[in-house]
Parts: sequence; structure tokens; C-alpha cells
Amino acid sequence: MQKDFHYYATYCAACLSGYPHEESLTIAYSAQFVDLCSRTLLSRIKGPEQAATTQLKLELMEVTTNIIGLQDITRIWSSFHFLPYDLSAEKKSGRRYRNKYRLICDVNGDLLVDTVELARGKSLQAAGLAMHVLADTWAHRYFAGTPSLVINNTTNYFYELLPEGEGYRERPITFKHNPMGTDDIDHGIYINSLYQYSENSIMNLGHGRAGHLPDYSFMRYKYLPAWGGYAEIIKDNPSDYYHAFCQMIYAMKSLRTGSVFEKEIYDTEAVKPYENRIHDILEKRQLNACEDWKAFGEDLSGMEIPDFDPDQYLQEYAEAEKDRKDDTFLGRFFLAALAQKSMVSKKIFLSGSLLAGFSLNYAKVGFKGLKDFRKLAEKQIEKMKMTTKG
Amino acid sequence: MTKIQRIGNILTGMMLIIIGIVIFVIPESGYSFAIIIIGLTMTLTGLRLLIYYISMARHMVGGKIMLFIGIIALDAGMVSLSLNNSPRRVMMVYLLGTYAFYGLVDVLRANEARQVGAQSWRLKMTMGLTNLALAFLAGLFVIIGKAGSIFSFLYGAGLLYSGILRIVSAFRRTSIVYIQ
Repeated sequence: MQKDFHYYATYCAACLSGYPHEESLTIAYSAQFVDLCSRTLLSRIKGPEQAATTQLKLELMEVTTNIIGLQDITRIWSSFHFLPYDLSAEKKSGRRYRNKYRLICDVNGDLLVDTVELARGKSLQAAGLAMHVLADTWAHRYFAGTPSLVINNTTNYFYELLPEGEGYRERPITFKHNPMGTDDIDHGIYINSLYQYSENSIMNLGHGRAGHLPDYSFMRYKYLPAWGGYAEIIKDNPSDYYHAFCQMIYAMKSLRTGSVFEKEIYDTEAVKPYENRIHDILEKRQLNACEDWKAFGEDLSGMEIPDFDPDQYLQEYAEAEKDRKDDTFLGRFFLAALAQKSMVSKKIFLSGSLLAGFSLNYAKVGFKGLKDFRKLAEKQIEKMKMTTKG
Repeated sequence: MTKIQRIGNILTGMMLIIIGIVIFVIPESGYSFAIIIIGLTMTLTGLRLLIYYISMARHMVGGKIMLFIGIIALDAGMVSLSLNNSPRRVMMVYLLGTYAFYGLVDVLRANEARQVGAQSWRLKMTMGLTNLALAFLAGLFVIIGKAGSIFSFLYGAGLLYSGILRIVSAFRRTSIVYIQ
């Protein structure tokens, strides 16, 4: 997904779930910031390195795919962009294959409930981050947030489904590997990552082999996923994005009101008056739907939605006193990111896989490991003490 | 390419150049040395691919390609190791086949890279054409009956060339597509 959905559509969903304008903007900004919070950005403002929620092109070029590098990549991409669907999934295979198979992202997994619950009672930044993760489960389903040829590879069997009459016309998709190029939606020519037969090549991370197709709301296509045993998958993005939008509204209502969050519930009632407009935006063949979502959001709230400015809160964080940093906009975002990464990494570790690294129980062994997470542990202990006193 | 991969490429390139020079300077010992290097490299590659196929790629759509490549590499490796006492003409034919195969693959991959707009196709094409030229030379010496004396020189030249290319590629800029 791109800025159009993570920023503008999330703003719309927040408004429809009852958040006022300013709070909706905070949630939307945080949802979009997940795609920008890289180590490079964090080093600029001296933020905690482990709060990185994405990796930039240059960072990925320099990344090492040894076990340490793989664990770092998996922690980032599985936690924030490819939430694993079923960490206990069984497959008649060796452990090495099964551990990667279990990282395949899909909608309505147990980890989605954990993600939303983790944001409960926390900051608006945490809610925004959770909405990014939720939305991406719909766009990125069937791919894994770890480099893997055997999971993420695709074949030449790739067709776009173009609406025609009552049905769909199939058009073969041509993929090109040109990092400087752009997708040509008129002629069905898309950019993807290069085929590399090395299992852990960075080219085999996420949906790189399928290009940006999962990121376009209008796109419908069919293909053979590497893990599917030659079973064809038909990906209907307009439908998936619509479900993502309705599920975000339901999730944010749950966070706002304190009601329980359950899987497979979509707030279609809230969007009923706007259903046609939303479908029109989702179906429109365009590389960027920002303008349409922005106009819709401004009609909903009657307020102007400012353009997304990636530098908006950097100075506030950089100039804050050390003991005040956690109270800044980005400080709250970093705490939410550390919590999400810690939660997902722990679940992967407990499933018997070391692909996201080790997780240790603080209560049993005290603090060990990546020092950035100490802040998180201290916050949790502080909270527990407050609860006990209360 | 990561820094470690770049350093690895430079070290491998330097090692290939040194071995190439040794084979050039001492052609008699170089012959056996060359056979061992070729054989071991191909055998280990084949084994690695077979293990990968059994543990991972057999579950993947189109994964059988790993099995085929693994078997061919393993087979070729073992054949190479058994060629030490064979007439050098046999080894020369083998060298011809190897150069021709890699040359053809490089040319095809360069063509593919050119079609999809990747900038690396020129280097790949140069590598492919050079390998084809070496294959042609090997064939020529087999025909004129000079295989014995020329094998070490030809193989040494191939190693020198590969070593230089490795070092050159370590300094190349690389770019990738990533998705967020």
C-alpha cells in the first residue's frame, strides 16, 4: 500500500470511526510514517535504532543476508508489513521450509488481534501504526516478510484481469527490472525485482517478485505463488482494500470505545452512505489515488488535510530533553514500534523459529540483548508498578 | 552488493589471479591443480543445490530446476575429478564444453538483462563472448592436435580473466527494486 491509503484513507477511516480531525490526522500520519521510519532517518535525530519500521533502498543494498541480517530484516518486515497469518501452520516439510512457510502474511490472523490489542490504551501513534499493519495484511497477503525464493518467487504465469462487460479479460503481465523505471498500467508493463536463485537474496523479500501490483487498489490479477503447490491465486485488490477500509473503521472504533476487537468483522454500516464513492476511488486505474482520498476526507470532516510532511516532527524530537523525548510525537511512535516489533518477534521465536532472533523473558532473566528495548521493558515495569499500587 | 560481498569478491578474484599465474608458470603441475579446482567447485555446488532442493525447493512451484542443476553440477564435478589420468585431449574437450556452456548462458542472460532494461548487460555480454572465444580456441587446438601443451595456458587465462572480472564487479554500483 502507498501514501494514498496509509495516510489519506486512514484519515477517512479514523473520521468515520469517530475520531475528531486532529486525532485523525495523528493516526493517519503515524500510519504513513511506518513506511519512512528507517535507520537512516533515526540516525539523523538520534532515535532508537531498533524502532526502525522499514528499510530504504540503500540500506537494503548494503544489508548482509547472513543469519544476523536475516533476523533484522524479518523483524522489520514481518512486524510491520507482512504480519504472519499462522505461526503454528503445519506443512509436510523440513523445519527450515516450515519456518518460512509460517511467515506468510494473510488477513485475520491471531497476530492481527494481538496487534490491535497492543495498541489499546496507548497513544494515537500506536493506533496509527496498528492501522498500517492491519491494512498491509490485505495488500500483502500471500507473501512473507523475509527473503525467501521458495515462498515469494513468482513464475511467468501472471495475468491482469481487466473488467470487460460482465466478466474479466485476461492480459499477460510483462515484468521488467529497471529500478529507475515506472509501471506502465496502460500496456501492462510493471517493474519487479530480478530473479535470483539464491534462497535468501534480498530480491526475494516480500512481494518484490510481483512488483507493485499488490500496492494498487484497482489491480486484479492471477498468478501461481511459489508456496501454493501450483494452485492459482486470484487477487482482487478492490475487494481487499474495501475490506481493509471497513476493518480499520471497526478496529479504531474498538480502540476508541474500548469494545472488544474480533477477527472477520467489518464496519460496512459506517461506509454505506459513501459506498459508491469509495468503490469508485478503489477501482480507478491510477498509480496514485491521493487526490481522490484527500477530497473524500475533506468532505467527511469539513477540514483541510495537510500534505504529508515527513520532516514535520523531526525537530521536536531532536531538540527535546532526554527525559522528555518519549512524550514527543515521534517518541510515542518509537515506543509503539518497539512494542510491536517485540511482540511479533517473540511470537515467531516461541513458534520455534529463529528467523526473527531470540526473545528473552525479562521477568526470568532480566534485561539482555538489544539495548533499545530496555526503554520498553522499563516502561512496562513502571506500568505494572502503577497498576499494583492502584 | 554488501560490503562483505564486495570484499569476498575481491579476495576470490585475487585468489583466482594467483592460481591462474601459477598454472601459467608451472603448466605441468597446473594441469592436475586445475582439474582438482574444477572438480571440487562443481561437486560442492551440486551437493549444495541438491540439499537445497530436498529441504526447500521441492515444495516450490518450478523448484525442480534446482534438482536438475544440482545433478548436472554434481555429475560434472565427479567426472572432472576422474580426468587426471585421461588424455589431455579429453580434458580439452571438457574445457571447450564448459566455456561454451557458460558463454552461451552469459550471452542469453545479457540479452534478457538488456530486454528488461538492466544496466549490467554489457559486462555480462562481454563475459559471455569471451567465454565463447575461449571455447573456440580450445576447439581449434583440439583439432590441430596441440591440446596437451595449451590446456594449462588456456585454463590459466580463463582463471585470470575471471579473477579480474570478479574484482571489477566488486566495484560496480548495484541497484535493486524494493517494495514497501
